[in-house]
Amino acid sequence: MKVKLTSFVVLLLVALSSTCWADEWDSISQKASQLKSVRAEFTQEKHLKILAQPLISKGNFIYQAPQSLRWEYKSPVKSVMLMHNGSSKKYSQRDGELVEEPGGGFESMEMILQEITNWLNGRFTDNPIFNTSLEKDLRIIFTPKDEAVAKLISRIELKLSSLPSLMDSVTIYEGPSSFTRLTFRNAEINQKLKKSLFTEI
Amino acid sequence: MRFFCYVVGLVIGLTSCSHRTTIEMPALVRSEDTIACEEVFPQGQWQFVHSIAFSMADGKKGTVLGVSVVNGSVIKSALMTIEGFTLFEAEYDGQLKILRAVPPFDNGGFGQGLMRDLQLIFFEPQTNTVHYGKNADGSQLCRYQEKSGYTTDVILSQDRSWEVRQYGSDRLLTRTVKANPSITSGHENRWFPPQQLALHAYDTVEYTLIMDLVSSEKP
Repeated sequence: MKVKLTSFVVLLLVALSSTCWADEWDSISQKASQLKSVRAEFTQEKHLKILAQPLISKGNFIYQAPQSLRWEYKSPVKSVMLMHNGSSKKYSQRDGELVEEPGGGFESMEMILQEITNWLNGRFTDNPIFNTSLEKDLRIIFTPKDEAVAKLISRIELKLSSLPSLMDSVTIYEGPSSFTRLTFRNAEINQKLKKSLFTEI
Repeated sequence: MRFFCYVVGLVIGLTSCSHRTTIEMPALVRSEDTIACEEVFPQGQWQFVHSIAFSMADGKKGTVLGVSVVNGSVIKSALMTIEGFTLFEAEYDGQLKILRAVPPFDNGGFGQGLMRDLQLIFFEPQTNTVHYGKNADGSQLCRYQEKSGYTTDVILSQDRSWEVRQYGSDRLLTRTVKANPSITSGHENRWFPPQQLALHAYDTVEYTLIMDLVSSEKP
């Protein structure tokens, strides 16, 4: 009985300590500053009014502080986006091969990915594009400051993980019946990563 | 803005109607036997998702995802980036209703041009004036004379591939759609969507759309 009670208390403490990390901006930023790298899988669901079923894409991403990102789609269409040292490149499948798209070419997603790297870095509030609000259920809501951006993205909802400095999902709302949800899983943090992951396909 | 610069040409291409091509409509060796050209087009409601690689005559290229829901004369369509950002969404049932259009897709003629291309790909031309015959290479052909002035040939090949060739009232080629054979999985009598469609527009700005089938669904 004593063992069971101890186990319960330990579990409760773990649960409390893990959810408390996201109660205040300061604690989120402090935890995020300890994050050096993340490698995770993602599933992307695209919901549209005209789609009977959401369009599912799968891939993985690799992040390394402060601003390096590899965002890769494995299916249904292969695509790789690389961000490193302020430059970005995009490669898409064409005739069975990954070909660089001229001009980088992913402005809206580039903005979202830039945001994701900022969030992983713990930078939530000093945001020139979005107003942010921290909700009690581990959610952060981003609403555009600018009307021009609001026409493209009405809001972004970030669901933080119960594990410090990670996120469970990001939902990008374009309109009332159109949104994209990215759900993350199998995250591995603070591993040593090769620079080439962010510069080569 | 860079991505949008690359699709501006596509927008212009889909918007334009003037003809530059010099390919003329060939003579038809007529036959009295009817040919079931309507069988290449989907019947009832279908939803298709395609990966669309577009190429402009000046070398500009890009890839988007296209959703097309067709049912009778109704088309619902959305174009999005591979990352899921919606660039254009519209419905067409004789009238175009634009639900979302990110610049430069908010150009008035883009939606009309897109729907014209989708009609050519998914719908049998609407006319009672149809002639049947053969091409010079022996393939079977249905020639539809439309009231709009367009003449559309639907050409069936022995290997189950097919081609649509549309000519203007000046008899010059304006559009072609080539379809690779469907994968029928042994169900030869059922309709299956082509694995790849290639549309070539011979307009002021020529463009090619290579549409690889990602998924098809009959809701």
